[in-house]
Amino acid sequence: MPGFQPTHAADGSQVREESRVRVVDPGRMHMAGLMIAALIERRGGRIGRLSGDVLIEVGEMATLLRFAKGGVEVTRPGTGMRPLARVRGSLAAMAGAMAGEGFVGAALRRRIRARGRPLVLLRLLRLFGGDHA
Amino acid sequence: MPERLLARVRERLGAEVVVSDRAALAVLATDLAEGKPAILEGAVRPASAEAVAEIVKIAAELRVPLIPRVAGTSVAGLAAPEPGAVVLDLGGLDRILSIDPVDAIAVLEPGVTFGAIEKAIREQAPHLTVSYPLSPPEASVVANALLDGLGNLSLRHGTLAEAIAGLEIVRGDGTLLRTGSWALAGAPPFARAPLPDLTGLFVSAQGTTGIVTKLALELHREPRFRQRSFIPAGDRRTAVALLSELPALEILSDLGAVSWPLCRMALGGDPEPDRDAAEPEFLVHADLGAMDEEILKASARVLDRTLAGLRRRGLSVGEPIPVQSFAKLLPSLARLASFPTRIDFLLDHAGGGLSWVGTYGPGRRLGAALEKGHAVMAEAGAVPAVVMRPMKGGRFAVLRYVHRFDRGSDTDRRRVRGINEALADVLLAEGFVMYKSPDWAVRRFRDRFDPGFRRLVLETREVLDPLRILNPSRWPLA
Repeated sequence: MPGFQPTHAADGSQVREESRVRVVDPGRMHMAGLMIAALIERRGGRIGRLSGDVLIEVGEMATLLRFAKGGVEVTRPGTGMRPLARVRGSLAAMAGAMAGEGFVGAALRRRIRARGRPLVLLRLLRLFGGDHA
Repeated sequence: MPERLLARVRERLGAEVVVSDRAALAVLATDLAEGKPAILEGAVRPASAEAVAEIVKIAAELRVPLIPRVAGTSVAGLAAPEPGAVVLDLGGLDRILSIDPVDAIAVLEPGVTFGAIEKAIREQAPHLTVSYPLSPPEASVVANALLDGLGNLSLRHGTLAEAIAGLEIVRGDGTLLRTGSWALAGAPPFARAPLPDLTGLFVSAQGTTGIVTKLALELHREPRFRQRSFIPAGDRRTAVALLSELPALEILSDLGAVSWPLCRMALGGDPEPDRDAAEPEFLVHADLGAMDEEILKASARVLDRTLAGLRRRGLSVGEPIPVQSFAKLLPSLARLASFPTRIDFLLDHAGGGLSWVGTYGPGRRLGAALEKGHAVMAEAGAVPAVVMRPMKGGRFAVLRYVHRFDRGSDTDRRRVRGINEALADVLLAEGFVMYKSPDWAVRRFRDRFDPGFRRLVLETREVLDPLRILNPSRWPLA
């Protein structure tokens, strides 16, 4: 896991924000992974205390997010991984949920499926759950 | 000789018409395509049709070739200067002379950009629209129309040239003429009919038959209700089926497909040749447009039903994603929802080069052409960045392969030219003809043109530009 630049200095003042998102092997990353990476980049401030591995499956495109120290590494899942949470849905369902429909509504309508540790899922909801989440 | 022309222009039309600013000259010398770096010996920038006519007369007298240019956004090398020539920058003729909101005709000078026409239509005739290409707002409406370019309304209306209702042109001897209905004094430019139709002599001629100084363009009604969606297509067969079968529904105002490398580039990626097998191979965009909301809703139901039918046939058709979802997720993707659009992801890269092989061909052979094009790209180890569209109700189709490359590298330029030549060969074998044809392609296929066609093109040039001063290197059919 790479070290991420701090977004605040010791006195609390904001410092230049470096990317909190690193895509592993970006030339081979599928479009869902790139989209998730761009979205987290935009909403980076919401990563908060998320840590550990999360698996996002958009259609057949699987992306492993490895959160640590306020940043995230976006990679393909390998064998033997043990994600703390999994979210799965079609590209349309995930895009709709992230764009404003919300994960809760989408999950209730069974357009997306989420399972794993409740606290991690709650934090994911904050990160991905639309601009008003 | 260019110096003598510049001196005469300065003397007759004023120093301001001669481009002397080094930065402006540098821009006029640049070109996105893979040809060798251009040599610019001079440039003039007139601001009226009369000034263009005067410059053409001087050029004819001094036998100095003129290279017409507007925005320079063509990726076929059409605006590249050549030794001994002077660039005729038409960007200064940038007036929208009229927009008729009832007859839906706009009269434009060549420097009018898609950004400018969009603003003017929004202010003066918001119920109308123009067919916008996948080009930046700085691109010229007139140049795109004259080059048989395509746009977002091409599914219904064909190329933008089919919307030309009349032209004003400066011939190679500096005289002016008009084509279309306004060739008869007192008649406005409402259509190419009913007089002998000479407009075609200037379409796709790349400025070799005359310099167009005014163009009357048909505008189209803007649907009051719209719904744009992206439909993931799991493989090429599915994408081709969508483009072939959906036009028959006659409910779509736009339909097209982009392949996975372009999707990744739009998301900021720099894709390598291998596709992730789980990734949709194409995203198909489908626009429903209607004047009435109920009709739009009914059209959406018809589209959903048709997509379900295609899935039942075993095609890998994903669930449609409203473009608003993409735009809300990532504002950078909002460009996909409105026109004119930004294609910065194609232009803003380390190498700065952009080239293509863009073809029109028979819709029924799109799948076969796509397979052959992909084989060429795979053999070259290149990413298959593809744009496809059905045109004019699906009667014909666009198939375009796009390459980003390093303009600073001779090796890379040669590599891209080699791929383009191989693509042009295999696509023509399926009946796909390059549009905005670069001169290398014309030379390559020179002997395959119908001899009568070749002769008449050359004779037409002889009549309209006997001294061969108008973009003389283009269309090298002789």
